[in-house]
Amino acid sequence: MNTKVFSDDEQIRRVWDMEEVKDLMARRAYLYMQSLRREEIETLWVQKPENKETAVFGSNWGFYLGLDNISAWYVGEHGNLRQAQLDAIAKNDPSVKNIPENLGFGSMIAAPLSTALVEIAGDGKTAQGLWYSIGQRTDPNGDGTASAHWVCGKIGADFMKEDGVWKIWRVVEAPDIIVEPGTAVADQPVFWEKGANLMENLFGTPTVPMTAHDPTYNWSDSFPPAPEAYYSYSDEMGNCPGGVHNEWRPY
Amino acid sequence: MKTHLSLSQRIHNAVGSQQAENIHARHSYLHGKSFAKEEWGRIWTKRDDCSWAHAFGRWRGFANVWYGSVTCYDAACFSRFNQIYEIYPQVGGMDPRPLSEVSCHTLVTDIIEVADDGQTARAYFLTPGLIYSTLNGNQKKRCAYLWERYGADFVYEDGQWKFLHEQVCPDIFGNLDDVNWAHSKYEMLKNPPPPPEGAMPPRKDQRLQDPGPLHFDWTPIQKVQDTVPWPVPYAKMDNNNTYTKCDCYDE
Amino acid sequence: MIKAMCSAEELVGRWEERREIKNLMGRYAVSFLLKREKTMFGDFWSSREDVSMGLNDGWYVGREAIADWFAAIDQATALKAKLLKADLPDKLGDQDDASLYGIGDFDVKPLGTPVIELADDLQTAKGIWYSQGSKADVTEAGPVSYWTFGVFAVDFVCEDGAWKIWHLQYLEDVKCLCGQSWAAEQTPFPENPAFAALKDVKLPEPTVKVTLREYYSPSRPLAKLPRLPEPYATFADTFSYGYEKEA
Repeated sequence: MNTKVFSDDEQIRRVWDMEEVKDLMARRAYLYMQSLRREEIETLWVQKPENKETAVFGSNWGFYLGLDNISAWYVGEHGNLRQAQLDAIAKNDPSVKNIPENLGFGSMIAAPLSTALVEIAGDGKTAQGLWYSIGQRTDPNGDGTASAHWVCGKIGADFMKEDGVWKIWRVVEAPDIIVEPGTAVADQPVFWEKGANLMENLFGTPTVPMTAHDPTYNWSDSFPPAPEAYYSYSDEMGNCPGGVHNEWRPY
Repeated sequence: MKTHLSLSQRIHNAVGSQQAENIHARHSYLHGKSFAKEEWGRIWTKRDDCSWAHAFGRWRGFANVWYGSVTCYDAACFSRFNQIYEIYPQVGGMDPRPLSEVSCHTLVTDIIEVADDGQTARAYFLTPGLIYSTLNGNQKKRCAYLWERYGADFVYEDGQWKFLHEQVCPDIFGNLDDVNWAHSKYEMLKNPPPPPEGAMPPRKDQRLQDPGPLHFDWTPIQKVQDTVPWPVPYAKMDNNNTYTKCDCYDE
Repeated sequence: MIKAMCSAEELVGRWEERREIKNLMGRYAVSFLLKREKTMFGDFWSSREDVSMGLNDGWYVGREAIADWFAAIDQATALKAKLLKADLPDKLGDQDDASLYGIGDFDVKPLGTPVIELADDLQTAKGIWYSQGSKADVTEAGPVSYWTFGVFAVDFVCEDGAWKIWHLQYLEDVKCLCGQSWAAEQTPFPENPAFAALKDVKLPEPTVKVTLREYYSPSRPLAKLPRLPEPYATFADTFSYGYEKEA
């Protein structure tokens, strides 16, 4: 709970804190759309060594811990995927040059943000937010065609102030719906067959593999969490492995 | 700028505007989890002039809103649970409500005004949403898009902002993603299908003080509906500045 | 502008302007849904001569060009209502043209993911929004619906105390038939003779015809978005979302 009473001057600064946190996540969304992942990590995420160590990127299947591990997957493995896709495209169509400028050829990704719910900590040092994204991911197949998917789900994030500037500290992307346009969710198997979930395949091998969110049971697990008013941050409420994921399971 | 107000009033109203967004988002996440008791018990005023409206009509007064939005909603959730527990026994012991569905009404295109007197706020949103669930009685997943418009009024009560009125205007509905929602509506006009067997009769609810229809789903012959006009700057809530007219506002 | 150095009065004033800009863009987007193209240019755009609007296939430069674009949509809207009335006389035959204006279309341009910056001098502002939309359009095949994914990038100018649109780009990545994949060749619905008159309906050509954004296809290179707004002091210190003649 945050029961602190704020002065007018404090209140309006907190109003701007909330705007800045939303702005930060929106900027992330636009860099993500343009595959500017290294720029995202270097300009929008925490940079102080002690904060980088505790940075988290999670999804339904677990968590990457520490900004170096996040970067190795989020930037490195993504780059490898784009290179492999370009290799295949260029091999199939020599008019497409296999040069760095062509990385991302034939791809299109967006995770636009809606439904912002943001709480600024009473101590003003951290913030937590939740968004819903009706997005898409479109990848080239290498043969001149591409595969498109709707990707819809919640995106949770925790933020920290570093030297007066809000930075992304922890992010959890929790896709519920993954379906190709032109096909119906109703025609998918009720339970994902092994290897069939695109977003699970793309999530690689997280530092902490665990079921952080299971859309089989809709939003029973309340993860990523909807922020509540709070005074100071603790892992139990956070977008991290220590966050409360599974208390809803009966056994 | 609202320079006709004191600095303190302006800051209060800025906070109110953000709270209108946050509370509406909290509704979205609680409703997505089918946590009706938590939603109406926590973020709604209990005043007699509160209201909740949909295409089928409007409940007025907290007791009636609670009946429609909590009692009846819970009953529908429990009914769905009864359809699945024998097929998927792993749901035993779980809260039946979130297992029912994710009814996710996202919030975008916000247009928000706070009254000069700082006692009410008004918010308009487009809400492109999804309704989905994994475990269903027919052993098939389901996911539909449901795009609506929201008109909401909020009231400042005992130091907190609360929902006062909500009106939901559904426009578009379709299966994600194997239908063309406009063309299928046109085809239904040209070749009307027979009414489905056992079709539900129009809702007859003695508690609906303003029986519907208050709004119609889109069809190609539907005239432009502006059922919840966007809010404009206003001094205090009255019957020209509300999503539910009430004699008490003009006193 | 460094927040820590601003007074509470400056901060609340700047916040109110930011809210006004969100409201302006919300009303602009919803006006498409409410079929208000007849008045949108006058309601929302600046009275300056150097207004411009960029769409995928080029720039509409100056007041007349943009006004003509809105007027063409208005005329098409009226024609579509007439064609629907003729096609569905049992449903619409007893209603006059004025009351049917706007039927058939339903253009939802949701605005999310906002990044907004106000100039320090509060005379201009810049914003970008993502729009994951859908629209029903009456076409030569009759009413069909599309998914529309695109971005709005907008410069605003403060005129007589009110924010107005000065430059606007709306650039789409996707306009595909709902129920089909945007990554594959589209299968159009068959032409419907009742709507053949729409074949002749075209929006005005842009003043400057240039591809500002290619629609997505598997053979499109990764597409960059318009530059994101950055903090700035006055408009002379930043870039423009408007048409700029090549030197």
